[in-house]
Amino acid sequence: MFIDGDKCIGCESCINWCPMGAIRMGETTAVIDPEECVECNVCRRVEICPVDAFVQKPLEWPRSVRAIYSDPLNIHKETGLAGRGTEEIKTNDVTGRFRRGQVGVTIEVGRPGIGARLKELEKLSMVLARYGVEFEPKNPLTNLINTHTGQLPAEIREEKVLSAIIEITVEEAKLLDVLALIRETAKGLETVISMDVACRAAEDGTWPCAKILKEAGIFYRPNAKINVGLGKPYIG
Amino acid sequence: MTHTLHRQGTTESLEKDYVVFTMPSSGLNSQGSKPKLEKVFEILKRYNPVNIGDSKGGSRFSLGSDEAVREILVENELVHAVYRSREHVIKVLQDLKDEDLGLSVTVSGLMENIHECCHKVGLTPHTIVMSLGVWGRTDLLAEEKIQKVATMCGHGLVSYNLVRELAAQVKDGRLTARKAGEMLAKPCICGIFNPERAAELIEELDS
Repeated sequence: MFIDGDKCIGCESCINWCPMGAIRMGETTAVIDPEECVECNVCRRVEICPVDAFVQKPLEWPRSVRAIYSDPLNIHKETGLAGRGTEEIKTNDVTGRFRRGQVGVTIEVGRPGIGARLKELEKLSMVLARYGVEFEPKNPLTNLINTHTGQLPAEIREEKVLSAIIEITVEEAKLLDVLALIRETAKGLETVISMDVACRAAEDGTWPCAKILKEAGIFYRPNAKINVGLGKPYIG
Repeated sequence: MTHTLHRQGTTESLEKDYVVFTMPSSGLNSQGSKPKLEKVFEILKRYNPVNIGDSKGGSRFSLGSDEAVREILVENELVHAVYRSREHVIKVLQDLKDEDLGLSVTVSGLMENIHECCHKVGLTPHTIVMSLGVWGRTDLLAEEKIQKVATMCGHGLVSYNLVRELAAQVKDGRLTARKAGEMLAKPCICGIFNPERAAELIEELDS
């Protein structure tokens, strides 16, 4: 994204709408710092500019990766997938993706509100690959990760995004080990991660992942996201 | 993604914040799902949602009206609505159950309250995602009061600086808290931002 300096009247209306704080005033007009802009398109989409000075040219690889993980309306050209993540638990009653005995772990790098260079995400994906986790194949990021080494293509490591998601599945018995690994790795990050775990309800209606977390003294929020079971299972 | 998870706030504040959404599973039951999603939209609209939107087009506040959201519904997408009370969630779930569309329905909110809603409608919760909070460089985060507002857009499209600016305008009497909440809802294109809760939080910021 950039601002057409010939159009901009320097009213400063747009500056605070940028989630990354990438817009600032130059001498007479607003300018966008291309290193900090994550191509989320908020500035243009909210139509705050009175003279329509925002200009979006088609993005070339590797810069296009910024929009993929920052603008939720974008489709991943390279993978054909949309958005930052997957259907995860939202359709688990139909897909049966998360089975009893398994836990899904999602690590959203850069959320909330900080953003991240993809090299920060790679620090986590490399550690997790060494541990031998299973990366969710439908996650658009997994298509970019070397799932054996956790490495990303070198050309995208410095690209900045609003957030990007690593989705993995582990056996219940390994959950605490994996969380400890992530927590330790997070100490060396230059950004934040939003962490969550997912599981299927047990036969008695309890949540096995909640029991594991509680017994281990790991904090979780009182609010959650629950698939209420109205979807019809897909049987092919 | 986990866009409706990770909302921050006190239990008292989260008591008035629920997101209900429906989606087909791509390639499994997505074909021919548009009429079902239109039916879902009709049901979601019945019970006074404070926001409504879809994942591929926009929301009441980004598009300007609920009708505009309905018009751009397509197959294979999420339709969301935000409610302020358990009672509304119960009614929505009851209607969705009665309609028996076969699509997946997810509710975000306080766990205990969602369990209660499901129990009243005779539903058995299937799968959960739980938030473990924020790890890593938490020193980079905005002050907690700002985060409570901004995290209602899970895609991170509501800027911390905008929350601060609009809160300042409310404090100066240049803007009402209600209007500020609605303005903050605009960048959140999925329609999961709760503008009424935002207005309450901004008034707390002001106090």
